[in-house]
Amino acid sequence: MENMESRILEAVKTYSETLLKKRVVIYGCTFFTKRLCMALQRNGIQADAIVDNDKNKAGKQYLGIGIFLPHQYLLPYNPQAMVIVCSVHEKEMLQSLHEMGYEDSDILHISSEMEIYADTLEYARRQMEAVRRGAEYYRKAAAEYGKDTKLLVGPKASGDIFIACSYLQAWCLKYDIKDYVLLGLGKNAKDIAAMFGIDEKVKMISEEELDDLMVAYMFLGDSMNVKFISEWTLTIRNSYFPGRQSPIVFRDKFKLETFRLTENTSPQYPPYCRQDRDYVPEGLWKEKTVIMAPYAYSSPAPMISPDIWAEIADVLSSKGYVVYTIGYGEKEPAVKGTRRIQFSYKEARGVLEFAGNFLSARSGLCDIVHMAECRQLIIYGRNIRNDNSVEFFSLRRNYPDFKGEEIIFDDFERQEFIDYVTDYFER
Amino acid sequence: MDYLEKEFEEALAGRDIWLKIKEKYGFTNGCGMVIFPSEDETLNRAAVELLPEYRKKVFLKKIIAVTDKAAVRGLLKQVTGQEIFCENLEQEALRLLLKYYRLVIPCAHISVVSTDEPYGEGNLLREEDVELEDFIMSAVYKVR
Repeated sequence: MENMESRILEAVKTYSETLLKKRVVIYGCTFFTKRLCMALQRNGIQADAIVDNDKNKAGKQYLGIGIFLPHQYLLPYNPQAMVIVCSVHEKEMLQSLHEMGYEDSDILHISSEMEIYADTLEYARRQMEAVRRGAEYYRKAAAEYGKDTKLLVGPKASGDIFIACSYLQAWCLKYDIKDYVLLGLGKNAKDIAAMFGIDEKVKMISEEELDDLMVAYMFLGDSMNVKFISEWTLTIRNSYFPGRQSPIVFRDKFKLETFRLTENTSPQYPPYCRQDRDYVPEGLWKEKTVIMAPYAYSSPAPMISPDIWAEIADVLSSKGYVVYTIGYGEKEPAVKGTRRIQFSYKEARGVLEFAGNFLSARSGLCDIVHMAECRQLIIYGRNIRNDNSVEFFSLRRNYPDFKGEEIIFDDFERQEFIDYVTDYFER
Repeated sequence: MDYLEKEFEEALAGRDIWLKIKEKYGFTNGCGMVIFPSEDETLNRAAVELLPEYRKKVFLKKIIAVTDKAAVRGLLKQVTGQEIFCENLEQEALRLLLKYYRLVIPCAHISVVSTDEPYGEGNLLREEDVELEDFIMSAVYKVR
């Protein structure tokens, strides 16, 4: 999948000059559509439409882009249109476009043919090498920690790690797990484990090692005393239930599926000592600071342009708030008109409660601070491929003690959205 | 690691079986395979009944249902002819095919109808008010 992402990024970048001059149409509301939109946005390009043969999707929007039936939007032939095809159904799509009069020069075809050749001997041998490496990694870990120690392979995302840690104690009790090691990919694993007092159980693992271990585990199964915490990595499964409200939510995936606990198992959150009165994070005004968290990479994250965030910050400043942006690294600069702020997960709740106001795109941080006693406005993006995405990740549904508000960016017109957000903190 | 070599040989034998099925049915992009290794009659029945819907939702040209279970073959008779074909394998051949699947996912649309790891996890069904049909479409057939 990472190969496919690179191909999308590369293709859009290569053709960006052409795409900028055209009406960009994406064929198919598919697994790749969000990645395509993000790649386009990165190059300053906005898709004009999505066309899809599914009548149920036509007339709706995905990421703020209208969805049409192909013949509705693409006929009569429009020389100004550039259609992007990136799908396992590419052959049918290309044929359909040719029949509508579109030439190859009107089409940006990003082939998914990688998947067709997954059954080559060469690929099988590469997988075998990965199994060997993964098995060797496991052998060394078992020698270091003992073969009765469970190797827990942690997820990447902060929210996932937080939820998983909250069920570890119950899992160990139920299944008589004497000892475990939590294999973490990033610094966030150690930081979040530290909140739970289990950071000494974290061992860092690289992406390559994790990939190999996963391949080995998929192949060898229970001969390895390993557990993958996040099903996103182990199998591409999806517990969104189309057509009706999902009976399960994000947290249930870990509680019921990963750890095989019962429905009435309660999570164990880290202990929290409320900050004393002398606690004053530098630069923040007590209860008159808005901490914005615009950078989110989760499935239900909204695609809000930087200028909208900047306008929100501007209005909030004019109302007397000090506005900060949570951001890390070069790709997460402060929103225009705000200052950047960084703090650890352990500090997060205290900082937000002092600030008084939290405005965030739905991300893992929202799970970690869901219980913070401050005004919280959390923004989601509608996922047309999965109507229940927002419901599945809803903080209100996952955490009964969440007292904030949740809104869906795609349900608003631009100015309406800005007004709603900026008025929220005054209510 | 001698035991690994034996495992790999079995996976490659499974690959041969996959290639034979692929050739027999003209399997290309846009086709799907559903493997039925389980003896769970309720699960199998529901999964078979949902095959036509699965095929339509994902725009598959055809589905090849693979099994070693006589009961499943019987169930499949009700849906064959709707571009759904039944490939009967011996138990050992199915085991080898699954071994290959565990090494390589050879095509975009392949599912294993099972709630046992590593193919699936049945605790959701046991603990939650999840309809079996929803579970199959979502967790087994991965239809979004």
